[in-house]
Amino acid sequence: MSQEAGYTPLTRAQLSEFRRRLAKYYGAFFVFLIAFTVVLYLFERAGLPQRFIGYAFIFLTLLLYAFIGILNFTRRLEEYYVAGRRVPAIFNGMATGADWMSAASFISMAGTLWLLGYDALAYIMGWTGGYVLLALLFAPYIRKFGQYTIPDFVATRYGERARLARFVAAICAIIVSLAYVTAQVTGVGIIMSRFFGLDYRVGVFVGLAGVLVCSFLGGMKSITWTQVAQYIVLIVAYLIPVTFLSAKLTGVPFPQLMYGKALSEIGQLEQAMNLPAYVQPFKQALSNSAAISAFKQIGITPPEPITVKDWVGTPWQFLALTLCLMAGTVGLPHILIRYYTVPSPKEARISVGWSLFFIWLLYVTAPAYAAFSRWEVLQNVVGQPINALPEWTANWIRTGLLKITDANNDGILQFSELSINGDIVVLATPEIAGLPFTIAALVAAGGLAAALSTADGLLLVISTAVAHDIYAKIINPNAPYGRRFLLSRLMILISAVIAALLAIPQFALIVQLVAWAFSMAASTFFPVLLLGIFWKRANANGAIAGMIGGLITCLVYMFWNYVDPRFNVLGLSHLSAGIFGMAANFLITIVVSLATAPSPKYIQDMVDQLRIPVGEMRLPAPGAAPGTAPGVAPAGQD
Amino acid sequence: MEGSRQVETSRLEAYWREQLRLIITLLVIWFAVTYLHPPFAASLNKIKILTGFPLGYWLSSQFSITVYVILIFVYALTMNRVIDKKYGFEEE
Repeated sequence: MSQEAGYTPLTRAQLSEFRRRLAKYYGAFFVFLIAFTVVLYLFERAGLPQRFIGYAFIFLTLLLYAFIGILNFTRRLEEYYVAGRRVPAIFNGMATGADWMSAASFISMAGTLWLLGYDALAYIMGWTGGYVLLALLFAPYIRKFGQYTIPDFVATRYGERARLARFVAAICAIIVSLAYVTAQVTGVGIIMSRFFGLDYRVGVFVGLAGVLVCSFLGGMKSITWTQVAQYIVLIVAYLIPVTFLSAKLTGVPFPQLMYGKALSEIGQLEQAMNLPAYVQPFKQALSNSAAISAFKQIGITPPEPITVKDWVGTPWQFLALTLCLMAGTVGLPHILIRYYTVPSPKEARISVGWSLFFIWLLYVTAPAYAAFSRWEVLQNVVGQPINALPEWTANWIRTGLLKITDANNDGILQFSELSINGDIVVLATPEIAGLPFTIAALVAAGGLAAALSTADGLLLVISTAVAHDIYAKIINPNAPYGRRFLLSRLMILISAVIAALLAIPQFALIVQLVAWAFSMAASTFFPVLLLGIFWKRANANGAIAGMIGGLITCLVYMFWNYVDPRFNVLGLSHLSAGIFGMAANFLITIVVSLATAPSPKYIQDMVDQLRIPVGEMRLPAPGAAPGTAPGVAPAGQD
Repeated sequence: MEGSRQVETSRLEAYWREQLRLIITLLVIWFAVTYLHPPFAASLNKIKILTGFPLGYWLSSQFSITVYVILIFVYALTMNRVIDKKYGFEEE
């Protein structure tokens, strides 16, 4: 059942031949990218206008993604949904890296670190530590299950109420993914308009075209192979500028090690200027300023401004946010389905390791960006005469990302007279490091790759939730193959257009939704998947009640605290509302499961099969007579 | 037939127990490197290491996340090369 008729898995020899071929292709791609950058740099020196260099980068990379996308055209569902389950562990790792790291990771992460200091490290730890849970608790079992979607898993494991369980899971997947994909499309529009002077709306639609060429024709198969290319672009683009900056400021081109020097210089400058210490933890007060500006934008009467400082200096928010982001990571469907695409559960285990390694490369570097640019700002911008600021500041003052006001009219810039949009930290680094515009264009191409690759994965989740889970499995189980396929493609198109329309007004609430997506995923999928694999006594009644109760608990805390921060437990903000949703989900699932009948024997046998890393799953039809359900697949059967 | 099925069942139970033991051990390490140091970050920051990193900041920004990568590879290799082999769940 998990295998489409006539679709056979590759043998080991074929797989390693495939891996070698992939390594050759992507190695060539990497060399080409570097060569292309060097050639454009030479053109720049020869006097080619910046505008053309920018266009060359965008169109070349989009063309390459389109080429890979079209090359992977497929008519097979097994390829359209799970890339034929033949993606080698290391390449799935890169694809997951690109799938995972969004415009927010690429551009805003370093900026958040710049603004919040230690407190933002909750994001660094939360968004990496989740992969440990993914490897140990989910990935090999999800791969062994080996269907197409996460609602597939929920519906099979909680098979007594398969349709309801599937429906609730599909709706949760759609809500989480739609919020997230809208933010990616917004990111594409911003990069396009900031770097290439396109109108924001035009940027959104150009970006959308880029997403569609990658996912429309070949589904997961196209997405996977473009994501690998996009990972290469984004990681090269991320590492180059900060490496040069490190060499310029410290003499050693190894930013991850050398930003320690930046941190200690920052400390001394702060003392000299009487500023609060950057590395001091737990400085954030609770406030509803985000809610106020978001409400004003959509024309709802905003609440009174409230700031709660009672919990400043306590670690609770930091710890809760870290846990919430970790559990949310594991509950995000577009990440989970990547582990359906590897050849076996054993490869899935290794693949999570590669995934985190490729993500680690960026996350271990982000704090270096923040530290070096803070050093530059404290040393060469703050305390300088306003008419003699470094050259790079002028461009960014013009875009409005950097604001300078001489409040006390002394002609000298004080720290409090400076207002920085976090995005500037990554975007301006090439200029601070004195690099040519070609590198700035490469950074823009990297940001674009990050946004497009994440958007691809999310669109596929939305389209399969509708076409596969809701239509083919619930509404019309006898739907012919061709119609399911057509609907999948149609849904990608429709959800892309919806995401673009949602992105056009640039609601602040959308950005908020992404931060909330982790809480929602932690409150819905994480507990029921975990209990589904590790606790046979969990049943459908429990899981459905748990998902609904978890989501409601999470949303109540979230909105209440968002509007009125005086409502809080231990000073936890709405960003960590998932803690409460997750706890409620666990509690409800366990209590309701124990209060109602256990799952039937065939489901418990299925859980046994999940725990064995070899052999194909054999899923019996519900209602099979006791005893006919297959026991455990014999060892080595593959 | 009945006897061989029992042998099979107890082999699976032992395999699962060993799997759980590994998972729990690694989760304890995961928990320790995630949650034990941040509450003391302010005091730890007074200690400087390497090129000048405040220790509390360094633990969160580099140490913990590097341990995560290692934990996953330790898990994957132990499962694939040691535990699976011991219980006969190797790939063909």
